[in-house]
Amino acid sequence: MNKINTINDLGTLREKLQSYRKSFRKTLILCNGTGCQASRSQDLIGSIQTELVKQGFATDILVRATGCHGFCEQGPILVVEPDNTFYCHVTPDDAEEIVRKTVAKGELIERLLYTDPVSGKTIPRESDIPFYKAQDRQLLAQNRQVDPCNIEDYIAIGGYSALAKVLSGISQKSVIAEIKRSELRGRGGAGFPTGRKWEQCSDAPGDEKYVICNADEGDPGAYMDRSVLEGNPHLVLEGMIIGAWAVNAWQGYVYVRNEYPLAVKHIRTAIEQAREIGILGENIFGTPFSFDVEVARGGGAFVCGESTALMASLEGKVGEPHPKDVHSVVDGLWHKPTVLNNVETWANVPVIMQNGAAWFAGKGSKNSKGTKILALTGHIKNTGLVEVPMGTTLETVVFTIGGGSPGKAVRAVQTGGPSGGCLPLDKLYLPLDFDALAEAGSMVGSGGIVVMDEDTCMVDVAKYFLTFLQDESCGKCVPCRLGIDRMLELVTGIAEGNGKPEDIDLLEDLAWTVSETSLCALGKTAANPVLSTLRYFRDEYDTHIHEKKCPAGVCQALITYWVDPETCTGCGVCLKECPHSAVKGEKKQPHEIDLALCEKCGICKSSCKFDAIQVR
Amino acid sequence: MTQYVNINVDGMSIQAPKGTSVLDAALDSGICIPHLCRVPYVADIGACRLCIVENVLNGHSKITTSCTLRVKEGMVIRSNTEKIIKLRRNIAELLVAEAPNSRAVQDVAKRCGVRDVRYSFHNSNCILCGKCVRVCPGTLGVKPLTFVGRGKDRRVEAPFNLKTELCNDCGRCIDLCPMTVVPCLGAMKTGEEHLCVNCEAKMDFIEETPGLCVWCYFGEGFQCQRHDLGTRGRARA
Amino acid sequence: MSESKLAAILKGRKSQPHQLIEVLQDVQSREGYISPSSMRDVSEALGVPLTEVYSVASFYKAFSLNPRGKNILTVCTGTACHVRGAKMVLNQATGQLGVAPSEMTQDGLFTIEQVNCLGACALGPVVTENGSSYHHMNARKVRKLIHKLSTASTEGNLNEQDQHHQ
Repeated sequence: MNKINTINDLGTLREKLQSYRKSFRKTLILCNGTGCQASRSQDLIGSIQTELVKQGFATDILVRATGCHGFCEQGPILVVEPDNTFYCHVTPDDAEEIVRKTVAKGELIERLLYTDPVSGKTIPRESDIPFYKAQDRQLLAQNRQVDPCNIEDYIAIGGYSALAKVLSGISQKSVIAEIKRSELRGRGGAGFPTGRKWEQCSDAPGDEKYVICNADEGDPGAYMDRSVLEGNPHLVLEGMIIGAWAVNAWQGYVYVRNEYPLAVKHIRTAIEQAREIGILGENIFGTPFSFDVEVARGGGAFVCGESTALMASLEGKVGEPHPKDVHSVVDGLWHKPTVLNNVETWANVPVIMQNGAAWFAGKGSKNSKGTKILALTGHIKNTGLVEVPMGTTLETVVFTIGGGSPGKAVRAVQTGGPSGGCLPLDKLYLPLDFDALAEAGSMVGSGGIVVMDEDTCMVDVAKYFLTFLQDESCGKCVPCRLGIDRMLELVTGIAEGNGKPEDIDLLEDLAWTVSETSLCALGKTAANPVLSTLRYFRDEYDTHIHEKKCPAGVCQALITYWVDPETCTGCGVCLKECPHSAVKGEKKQPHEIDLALCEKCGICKSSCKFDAIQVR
Repeated sequence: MTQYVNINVDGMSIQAPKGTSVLDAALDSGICIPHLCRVPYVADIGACRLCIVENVLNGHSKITTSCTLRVKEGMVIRSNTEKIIKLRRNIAELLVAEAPNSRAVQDVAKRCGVRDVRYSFHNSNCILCGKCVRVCPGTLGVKPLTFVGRGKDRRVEAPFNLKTELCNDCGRCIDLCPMTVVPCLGAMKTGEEHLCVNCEAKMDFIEETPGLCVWCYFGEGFQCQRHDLGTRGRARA
Repeated sequence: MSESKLAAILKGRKSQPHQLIEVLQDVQSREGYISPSSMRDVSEALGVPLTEVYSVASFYKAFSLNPRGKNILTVCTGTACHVRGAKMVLNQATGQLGVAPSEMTQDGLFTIEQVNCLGACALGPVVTENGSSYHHMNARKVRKLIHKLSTASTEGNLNEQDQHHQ
């Protein structure tokens, strides 16, 4: 790769790459994000490439393996440009037909097209698909245009031109002012105004400053950051370089959680390529500005998503948070002024610098501007990543874009991960807004949205999150370590049918104590799952306490498995499958479950083809 | 030349050297804020959370531990508001429910207003205050004692039998450990743990030094009024 | 760990205490766990007190202080998988093998690990095993999977075709 020494070099290279891309007759875009990789997208890519060679199309067809497209429920995905044909659930065996029909003759393969669940009709063009149309994919849309392991793709679509613009004469103060004007708020969960953070760091005394990208993404069910980092690492890098310029830092770090090996690989490759081409290192674009980035991996600790714990981990220590009476913008990594921002926050920076603060602030609600990437998971038809303007209602996200629940009705939506809360159906009119959701007892958080249907027990959900937080607590401070332990003890007691009415009052008092006195945000927000489920689903707790029943049929101690004699055909499958020999019955006669032997593993229920086994 | 700043604690003006923690400044002036994990002259970690105070800024109250908060000119601190009293009591309740087998912990609980314990008692022999780890001098700066594990499994250990190599038997860890102070009526067996409401630390081996409130050893309560009010608010040379 | 393996891991990192976690990551992927002798080597090379190496190794879930089984079954217990029944999958696995998560079975064949989100939520509940992933799992499927892996392990080979069987 030739080095880019000046901003003009960048422009020249871009033009060259754009005409190269246009020279191909067709481009095949294949999603190769972690989700699709789990469904053999890697093999699909191999088969496509083999078929292209076999059928003689190797030279005029461009194959691009990209990061996550977001429509995960339909993966593996293949898009054919310029026709914009969208194929879903593609397998490696389909490769031969795709090349022979679609590539060679432009013929559509009906069975691979997306079928709209409402109309029942197929939609051949990607841009017509309602799932995509309802979104505002400022960041995610770039994923399909770039091969994350090739910096040239990023440059071809205009990448690094925001950086070039900044380094062509925009002062550090002006950059900070622009970010402030955009009203960008941190996308990691706290929603702190980014511009203000940069300004505080810039004003802090000292020559040694750092910028950090927080890619720890610990919220279970959230994979937005992973998809941006895996699919478009240069977008994040560009944001960091601009930020470093603004606050005068010459070293940056990307802290990626250990469980994301692909993201680690891609950001490392991106950094190497950026160094090779001269966008990282000494004298970027021939200016006096020098900046480099290193990648550090997490060790498997949710608490390291907290800024002071992350910095401790970067320093090679245990990830224990420290009191933040003096903020890290003044006293951060190695006690130097540090700007720590989330992946998505950094990703928004080049987009803002390119399109302007007013453009960004023109989207969203009064106090929450721009777009937000959400991970829609759980009991939802269209599991995947979506990007919508802030201020969009949860209802729109869950039903219009998400398609609602595939089975039973939706009863709650959990937002903000373990630090957030559960909102009931009648609260889904609320907008995706930092303040509105916080007031309702939840939070936007990092963007994870878990949809829960009627078969979900909210007491069990509170128990789940408390168990998670107990596992992830660093253990240093008393309210978090002992408080979460006791909250879990109480909720478990309720779930097992040993709850007492006073438990609720104690839970609330304890929850208040933990949230007011914990050292760090993990502890401070640990009570949210309990408090929000108590607020909106109090009757469910009461049923567990007073009637010792679990209406949703989840809490093991309170349920029994039962064979409906009306529906049971006596086929004997459950008898065979039961590992504990708890099912008894004669052939063709209704079977019965011996409750003394039943371990409630659920295997019988999932084996029954007639749905004759119920949970009571 | 030591620089001094003026802060206001519970309506009282105090002068303290720059860089002092609010807790130290308060204790030096005879204002007893309960604490448990504090070790004089050793870095504070804010682990026990008993020393919480309200830091009033722009009409806004922020709750923080006074041991980790450095004094700043004009700071306004409230250490005994109704909210703080309740929170402190709840924290002390959690502590005594976890480790009732120590007179120090029982005493903290009593003085912080715990009158009954709403949780089932456990019988831990460590409250993870970290004093032992922090004061251990080890040998040539390498300590045998450290925290291992995380969360519920967090504990103090001397791994790899390094105790034999690095421990020089100074005994500081034992001196400072709250768990070595046995309850007045003897050690509590498992199943017999209870809140000892009679417990008031009777440290007969500590003499009361005039002008200095020594009762704040092991976090003895606040507003104890064992101390002459006239000595508060004086400047230190 | 052999001298050369260790040297490769420590290249460019000697006397840099802040590299501790990165180094331990590499030791973990090479050896499958962090042994006391590895800790000593790392402590010396990086200049980090041995107790601190131990402290860090015991804090982070990525590091195992004990050897792990031949088949590492990782059950995703993230929120999305949880509401789809991941707990039953985990219970089945631990019950069937008679070990708690992170413990190794007596015969050294299995360790069950729990992970809080692999990011393949559309396919949940997810179980991964030494690089292969299994989707839409339930208690019944994981029971079959464990059975297959036990027989294969004792027989010494694993049928390629079964790798992605649901």
